[in-house]
Amino acid sequence: MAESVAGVCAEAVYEGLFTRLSPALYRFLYYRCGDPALAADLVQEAFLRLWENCARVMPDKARAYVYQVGQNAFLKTKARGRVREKYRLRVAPREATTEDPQFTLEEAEFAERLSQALTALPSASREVFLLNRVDGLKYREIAELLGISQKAVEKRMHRALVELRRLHGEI
Amino acid sequence: MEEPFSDDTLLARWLAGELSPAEEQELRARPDFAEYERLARAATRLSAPEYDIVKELERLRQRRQTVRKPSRPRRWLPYVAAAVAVLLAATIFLWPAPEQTILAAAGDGPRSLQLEDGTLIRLNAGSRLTYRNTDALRLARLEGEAFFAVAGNGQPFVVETELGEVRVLGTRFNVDSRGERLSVTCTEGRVGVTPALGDTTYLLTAGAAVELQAGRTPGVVAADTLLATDWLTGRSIFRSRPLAEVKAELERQYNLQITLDPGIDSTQLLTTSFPNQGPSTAALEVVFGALPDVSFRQSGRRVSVTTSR
Repeated sequence: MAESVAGVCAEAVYEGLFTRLSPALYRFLYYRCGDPALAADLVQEAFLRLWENCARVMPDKARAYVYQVGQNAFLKTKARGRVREKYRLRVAPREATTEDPQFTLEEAEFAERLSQALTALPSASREVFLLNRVDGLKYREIAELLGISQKAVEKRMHRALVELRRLHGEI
Repeated sequence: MEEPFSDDTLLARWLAGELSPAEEQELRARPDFAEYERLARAATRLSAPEYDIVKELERLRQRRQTVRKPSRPRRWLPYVAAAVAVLLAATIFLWPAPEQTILAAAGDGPRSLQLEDGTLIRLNAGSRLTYRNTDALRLARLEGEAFFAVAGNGQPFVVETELGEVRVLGTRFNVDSRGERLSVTCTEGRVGVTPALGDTTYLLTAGAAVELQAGRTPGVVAADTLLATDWLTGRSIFRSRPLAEVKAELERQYNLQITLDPGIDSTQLLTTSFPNQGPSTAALEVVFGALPDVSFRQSGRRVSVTTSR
């Protein structure tokens, strides 16, 4: 039996957390920065910090920890002016598959225009909208991740849809 | 051209299914309602650029070797690094053969597997997995519990269990197939679950679960994904589960043989959690120490639990 290790220092625990949390954290950061390479780097940053502090972070607190570190790391990068301004967020429709027969070509085109409209949306609304629609997070969960109230999340969500409808019509 | 909304969270609450009948009626009467509906639906078909979790895990491993953990004394570092390297070599498998069986023995902790297509599987202690890649599909036969992060390559991924099969439509999910119960929890994307008896397919989206149990009608319910994937974080968590089930998990995690005194009701419901690593006595103490008038004695792999009345 492996010796008892504090927090998330055990290899299996730590890597299990990475497997479970990293894809969603990546998307969370991607929705914010719009740069896939930067989002992946920020995920690495967050998990390295988790490793350095593994003895002090309990497994059930690890999620909140890496999201917090990831957001802080992004803000730091941005403050240093290292975010490529020209990068535009691209959330594209998945390809139509035989498993999803209702996803017709017309639907795909509609989604493509939606993807374009999303890039013009204010980032605060866009982030909430994508976390809910693409990642299936509940408003309460989004509120926790962003450190804002659930009411504020709902307002951003509502605004996102109103704006999207306007933008979508213009494209 | 556009009517104002009576409330600036209306659309948000509509999507969450939280509107009052009056609000619902108001919203549906709007001329632009159909557009909102279509936008909301289309958005669920969007996806962010692909994240290569296998590559990223490898990159993290390499970078991790270079950071020092302040909590560990320095003189241990070379040994720790070496141990980590050996552990990694020992726990990650690449699957070269067309069909292979991987066993995570009781007491050994979970094992990580990686298929050649990039799919990651974590097999919980006391579980067996056989994998075969036919031209038509990727087929895994599971006895026990495993978590799957399936790499989408257009080829369906199917997990067969005693009580039913799980067909992946591109995604992450947990399958717990033990005894008389099959529980499938989807944490990302969508999966379809078909019971061995019957031809209904239960379609699960992220955050949904289905439980198949002999003599009960299966139903799709909102899942506690954290609870279903507890073992990935190195703990076993139970919410109102029979003692017999908790005991079986202790036996698998620590490779123990636990005998309950006949005076102890093994159907009583427990809410508890124990670590899957460390000394087994600690885990036993958490579970049995909390039961009134119960004590346990451990000698090697054998544990006997008796009433102290």
